[in-house]
Amino acid sequence: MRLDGKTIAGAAAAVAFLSVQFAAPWASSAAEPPAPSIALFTNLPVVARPPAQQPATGLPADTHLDKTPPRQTVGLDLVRNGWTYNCMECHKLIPARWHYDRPLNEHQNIRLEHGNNRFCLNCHHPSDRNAFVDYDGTAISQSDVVLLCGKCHGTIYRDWEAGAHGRQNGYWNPLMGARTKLRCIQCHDPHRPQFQPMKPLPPPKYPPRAAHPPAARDGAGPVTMPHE
Amino acid sequence: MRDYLTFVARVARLSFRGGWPFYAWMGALTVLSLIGLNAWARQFVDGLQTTGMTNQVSWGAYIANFTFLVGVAAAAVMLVIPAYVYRKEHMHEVVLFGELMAIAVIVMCLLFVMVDLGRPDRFHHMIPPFGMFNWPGSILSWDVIVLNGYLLLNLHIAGYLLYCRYRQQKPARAFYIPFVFISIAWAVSIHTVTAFLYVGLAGRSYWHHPLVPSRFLASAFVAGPALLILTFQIVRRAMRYVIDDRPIFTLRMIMTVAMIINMFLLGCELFTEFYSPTQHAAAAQYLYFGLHGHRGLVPWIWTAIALDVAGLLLLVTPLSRRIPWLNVACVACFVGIWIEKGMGLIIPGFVPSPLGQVVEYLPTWNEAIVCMGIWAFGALLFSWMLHVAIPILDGSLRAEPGLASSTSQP
Amino acid sequence: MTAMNHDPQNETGPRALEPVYEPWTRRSFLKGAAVGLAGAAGVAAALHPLLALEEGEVALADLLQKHYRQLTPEDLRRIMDSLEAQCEREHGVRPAIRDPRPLDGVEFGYALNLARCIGCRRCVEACRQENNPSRDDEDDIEMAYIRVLEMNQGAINLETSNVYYDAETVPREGKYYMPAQCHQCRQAPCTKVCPVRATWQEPDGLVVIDYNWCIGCRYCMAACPYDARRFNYRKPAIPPDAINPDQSYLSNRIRPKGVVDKCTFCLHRTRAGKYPACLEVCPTGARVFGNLRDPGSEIRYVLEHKRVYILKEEVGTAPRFYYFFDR
Repeated sequence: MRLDGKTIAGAAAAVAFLSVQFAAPWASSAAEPPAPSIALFTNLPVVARPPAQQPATGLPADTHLDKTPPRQTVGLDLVRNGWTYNCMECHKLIPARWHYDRPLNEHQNIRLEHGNNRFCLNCHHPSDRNAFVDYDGTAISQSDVVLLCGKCHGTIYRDWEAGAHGRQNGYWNPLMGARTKLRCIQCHDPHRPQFQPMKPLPPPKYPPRAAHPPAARDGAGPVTMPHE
Repeated sequence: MRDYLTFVARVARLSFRGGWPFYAWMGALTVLSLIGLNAWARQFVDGLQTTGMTNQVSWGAYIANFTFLVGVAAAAVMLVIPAYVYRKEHMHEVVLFGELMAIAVIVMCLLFVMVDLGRPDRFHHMIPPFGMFNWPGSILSWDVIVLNGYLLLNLHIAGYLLYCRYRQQKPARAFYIPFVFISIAWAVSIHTVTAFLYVGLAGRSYWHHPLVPSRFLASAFVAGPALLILTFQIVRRAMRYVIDDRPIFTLRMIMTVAMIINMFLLGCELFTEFYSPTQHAAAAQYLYFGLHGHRGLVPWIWTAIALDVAGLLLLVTPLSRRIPWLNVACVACFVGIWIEKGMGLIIPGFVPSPLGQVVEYLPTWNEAIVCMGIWAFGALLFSWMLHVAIPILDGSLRAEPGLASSTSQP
Repeated sequence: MTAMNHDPQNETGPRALEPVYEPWTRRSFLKGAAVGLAGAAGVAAALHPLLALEEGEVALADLLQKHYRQLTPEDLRRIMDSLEAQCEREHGVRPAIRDPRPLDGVEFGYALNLARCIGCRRCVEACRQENNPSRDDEDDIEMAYIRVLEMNQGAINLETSNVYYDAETVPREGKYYMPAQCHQCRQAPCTKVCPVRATWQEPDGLVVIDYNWCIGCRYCMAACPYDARRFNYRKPAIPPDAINPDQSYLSNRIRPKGVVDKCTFCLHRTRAGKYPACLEVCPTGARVFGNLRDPGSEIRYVLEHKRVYILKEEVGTAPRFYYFFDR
């Protein structure tokens, strides 16, 4: 299903509406956002394929272990609300430009803090927005995103290939079962690849039976060593 | 054989004969031992969570007492050497007391190891035909061998000599002299092996130190004789057995020399730790001055040092030629070394932990009661052995009571 | 002071001893019996707390059980069955206890990237979920096999590290993080000192414990330079829904009270070819695990290409756990 001219107006309205309604950061609510007012827009396009799926991580039997990749790629607001994940549906109308001098309508929450990269087209393909771009202008498909990253991060790509960078799940022994490797963008936001800080899980406590528990600062707060 | 059974029966009946002070003393010790047994039974049911030990400080008061007492047991050799190697006649009269003390103290050591086990019900895993003995790899298995060997040696020597005295026979030299000389080497070995328990652990820099065995022996040869000097006086007061002052002053001389060596070695240790304070000095830092605001052992160790210094000063001055001052010196040295070798040696080995965590330790009440129970039981055992041995030694208990008692005066 | 003379009133003197030589009289016999009874009553009263022992806590079968390495496969299966039944009785969950054996040609190695680790403690939590330690309350976090040390940048100084850090977010400014767990040493001090051979090294390099043989002397804990061993000071308490039923005899089965346990690189997982639990959850991918004897494995890649640091190398333990620095 492709957008036709008639639905563009609806799409634009939806964009405006959703950008108000779901202004939360992209990572906040991942899997199932409420889609309350979509039904009001009767002329929305039909979903052509489900939103981009991440490959499964690890073994289904390990339900007790939380193997969620650090970065949940949830896609665009439109996608989260059931639109198709075909970038060209919009971008055939909005041609590629090297530089945009005003805030974008969609992609508002993208902060590009990725080294020297200042332009979308450093990575995205100028005429096929469903793909990335290689040195020579040929397309790198979305599923091969690691090849895109490897263009600059060659040594890390080499380590990733060897299993020394990034997490692997499943079987260490390939003869006994399969392993899954997290891809670059499952941990790093490509627009802001610095690994994001996390809330640590609770610390161990000073052993309860040990003598002279140190006076906890701020009530039951964490114990910090004065030697720091 | 029949004679021997008569002997056992007489000893058994003798054990329950005495004046009211005897009954009061033994009764009190029995009650304390039973209270300790009760505390241990509680520990057995609830697990070692009844103690103050943690994953970081995994040994505590039990092993501290064990270490100290092994030294006291080894110090019996300080009576044996003058008596048998230097042939000092006056020491022959008291050497048996040293051996009896060694027996009682070794039993206490074994009990302290027993109560420290998480699974005392599996103790037989350490006994070769039933278990799997990690020998010669584990120093603890060496320790089991040397401690039990020392117990057997002393049981044999003391038992044989007492039985001969009871039958008023001259002991056959071949039956005890070789064992006496073995026991001299063995006594040194029990305390050295116990020191090796700690010295062998490369991961604990506070223990991994060649001075430790020498200091162990030096401090043991203070604490053991101190206890013996006090015992001799109690024996001659309460049990009216003739012990003159010569053995006491021989022991005083041994104590003085050993204490000087001990304090010298302590000084060497302190210099090494603090002149160039490496990361490995953290445990000593914790012990003497506290670390990261944790100062739990500081009062203990300075008390110990004060007692040690006071004891040393008394010993090297003529003041301690007078018995009351000598007694003060003995008590000061005994308590000082008990702290220094127990809390002062075992606990800092675990603080800070190998990963730098400072977790402090103090015994809980239940743990302290178990310790008290074992001390009471040791005192009970030693008192009982003295109560039985002295009538044999002075000839009042013998196989042929009709004979004149004068024949068997030592 | 001169020697004291004999005192004729002395209670141990010859006269007082006369009754000792006399034959047993009815009176002395009754007296002896009374003393004996009183003693027995005293001992019984002292041992009264033992009545609180749970049934089966000290069972004859346990006392007679042989060392793991002396058991026949049938014996072992029988013991594992009874352990499963015991777990069901006490915790309401019937686990599947197996005994996976070492794989041929496999020696496990583990490497951890200190430049990547952010100290989030996800590995600690995974370890607890996988390995069934006591996890009743917050005090039990201590029983996990991993301690994450917050270190001051500029030095590798364990002595100023902090395990109790808590913050809104990690990593904190000026800090880096070093998780420590069993290093599965080639020259393991813990196995050397165990007096009863209750802990030993398997052919694949894992240091394991027979929890049914350990006597709980804790000498191995004193010997370990990495603080990697834990002692069950009490009977582990685990809510039924928190129990991982995939268990093995030498690793994560629920431990008895009074024995030592430790990290086994999740032996029940790794011998089945899977990654250890701590690696499965690491959000930064700081953990690398594999077969040291396979030249193509990722652990070999790290050892051959990265700057590797061995914690406390001077102690001579030759660990199979490596730290490396790699941005």
